[in-house]
Amino acid sequence: MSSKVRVITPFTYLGWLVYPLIIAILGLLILSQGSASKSAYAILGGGLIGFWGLAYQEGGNEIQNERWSGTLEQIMACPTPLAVIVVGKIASSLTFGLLSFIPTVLAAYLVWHMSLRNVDPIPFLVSFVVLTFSFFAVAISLAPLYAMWRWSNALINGFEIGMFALCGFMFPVAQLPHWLQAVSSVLAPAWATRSLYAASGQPYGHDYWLWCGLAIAISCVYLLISWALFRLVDKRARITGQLAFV
Amino acid sequence: MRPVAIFIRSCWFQYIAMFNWATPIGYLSYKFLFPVSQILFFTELGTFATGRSNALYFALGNALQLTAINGVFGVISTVGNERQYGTLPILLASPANRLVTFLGRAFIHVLDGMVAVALGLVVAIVMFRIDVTHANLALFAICVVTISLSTAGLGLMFGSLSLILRDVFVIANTVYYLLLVFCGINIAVSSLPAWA
Amino acid sequence: MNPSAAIDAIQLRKTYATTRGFIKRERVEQVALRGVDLSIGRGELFGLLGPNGAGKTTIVKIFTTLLLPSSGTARIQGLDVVKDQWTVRKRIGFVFGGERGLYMRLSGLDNLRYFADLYQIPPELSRRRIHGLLDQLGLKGRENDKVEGYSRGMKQRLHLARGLLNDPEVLFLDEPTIGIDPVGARELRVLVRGLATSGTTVFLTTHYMLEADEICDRIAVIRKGEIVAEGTPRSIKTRVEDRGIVEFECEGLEPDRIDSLRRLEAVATVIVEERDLSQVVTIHCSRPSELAASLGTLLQGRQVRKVSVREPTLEDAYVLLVSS
Repeated sequence: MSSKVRVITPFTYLGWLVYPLIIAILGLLILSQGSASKSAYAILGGGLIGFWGLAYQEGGNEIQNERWSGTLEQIMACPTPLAVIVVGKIASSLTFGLLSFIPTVLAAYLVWHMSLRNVDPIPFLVSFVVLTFSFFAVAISLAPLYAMWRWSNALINGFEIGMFALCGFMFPVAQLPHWLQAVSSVLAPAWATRSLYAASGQPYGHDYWLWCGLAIAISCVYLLISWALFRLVDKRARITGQLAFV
Repeated sequence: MRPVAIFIRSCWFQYIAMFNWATPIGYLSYKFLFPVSQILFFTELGTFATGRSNALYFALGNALQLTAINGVFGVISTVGNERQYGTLPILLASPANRLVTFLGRAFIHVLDGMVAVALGLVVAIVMFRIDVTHANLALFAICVVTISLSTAGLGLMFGSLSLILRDVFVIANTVYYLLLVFCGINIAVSSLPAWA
Repeated sequence: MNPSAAIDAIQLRKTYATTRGFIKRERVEQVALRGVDLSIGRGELFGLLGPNGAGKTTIVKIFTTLLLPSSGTARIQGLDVVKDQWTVRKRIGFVFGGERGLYMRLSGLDNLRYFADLYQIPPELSRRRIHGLLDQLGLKGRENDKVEGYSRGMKQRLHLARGLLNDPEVLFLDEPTIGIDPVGARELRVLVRGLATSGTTVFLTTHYMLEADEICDRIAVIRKGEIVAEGTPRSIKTRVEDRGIVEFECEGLEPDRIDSLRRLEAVATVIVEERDLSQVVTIHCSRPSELAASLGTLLQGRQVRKVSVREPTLEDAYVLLVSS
């Protein structure tokens, strides 16, 4: 049902088509001024940003959307746990997020004549799955925050572009100051992205399996945190009674 | 005096209404986190592609563009939110001068936009050690005011579309990010393809 | 605690804590419920009346597991709403109504299908129930239209359909006829009465006295978080049985004249309603005919129009209870 709403909602097309395409074009324009060795970032970066945006924002914003349409109370009071409902919504976001790669990769190929020539297919596929899992873990651990605090929407949205940097979507994390690299090290998507670019032939180190392992392990920690947060959300929402407030 | 009173009241209520959901944390994330994030990302991207010596170009450009958060998003939401909360018909059916009402609401965003640029500059100076000691501050201030007014004008223009379109925030987001491409913020206008 | 009760509340209290201010935030407590006791039998149609802010919605939200009480106990069919929330949710339905609470961009049918999934209703049963409800509530033929195109009455009926999807044993209705035209409201009342007759326990909050009087088996009146009266509509009306109502219109009635009316021995309450340039005065008193006859003397110098004497209604009892 979440997917059905997305198909008919123009805002979704912003998420998987317009926004990643603009960022991809920007990235391609900027990165095409650099060396050809940065081409994978130019090709995949826009798609990653779109994919991430839909998981990170839309997954969590689903709660906010429920609040705005006045249906949050209805779904909180039904026998299906909120976490299960959110998982379905995030799955829908991730599916649409994958569509982001279509316009961005096509733009890179057709306009800038860039393509991924040195892709190692099996590791690439594995790291893509790990990346999706890490996005899912982040989205589901952020979702309860949206339910608990109305201002969390501003906090999480405000930091969205910062996450592009910390996760290394369009440039390697090694580019960042050391203190930010330390922050990046606790982000599962950052490790998954690193492994994805390694599988795309980027010459920035090849501890591929270590990076995949770290991404999975940190994602599992996020899932544990989200389980605790959902329990807290249920209790707190029922104490404050603010579910109906927009 | 009536139009002046409407103008001033519109300014004040618009600003309060926008943040009535915010705690200090929510407000700070809007005013601080988003600007820091944008400057960080695009400056690092730019220096990754073209070298550290170009940090000033990217940091300064993105700091200036921050006024569009208010000018584009803020002003468009002024009208868009009226539709969302069901007060647009009431407003349109009232005898109040619409130009004065909406200009009043947009004006507060012009002021807030300039504050956003000032904050962005501080971030750029601190994070990327941008040297502004040789800058012509008076001319710079005029540029900031001009940019703030022009983004608010853009916001009003696109905000008017919410009278006929429901999902005007799609347009707000698109306009905001297109400004990053076409206004010489992250890539010189002369470097764009001829059609752009 | 009544073990056979469908809905039970013992000393239910709820205090909301909010904050005021932006930089220096001040904690403010608002008491919504002050020790509410209720016991509603299975199959009963119970009405809760009260002014805005009295605590009606707070009680409903506690019973529907959306709010935790600050203290006290609430049970649905013997199940604690706090400890057994997941089981309670399967057995209840609720309708808050209003313009929100539905997915506007989806059709009525899709809304019901989605909620049927959330209530874990098996697909075949859900299909049968949805179509039955659409028929019963007069939404057949419009089920594939987007909810945003529905009238207010249709949205309210869709809310009710959603609330009945899981065939609840206990149904909570929070002002179900608000904003609906009289014909639609009457049909809804007939439907609700039918549900109670077939064994569903219905807990209804309403502002409409006619509605409470017509369909409820028992009612309670809540004021500032406390139950001030409870019983059948007839027993509530006996509070004003020995009274009559005198109503008249007047212009420019001074406050001290109104006070002088209040001081009369036979007068219980005087309510003055400003309407344009005139005032409508309603007096609850024990000897209405005598008072009506003496109005000319009591209000000498003022033109008194449309004087009427009538029997007290449930509304009069309600007004007396909430304004005393």
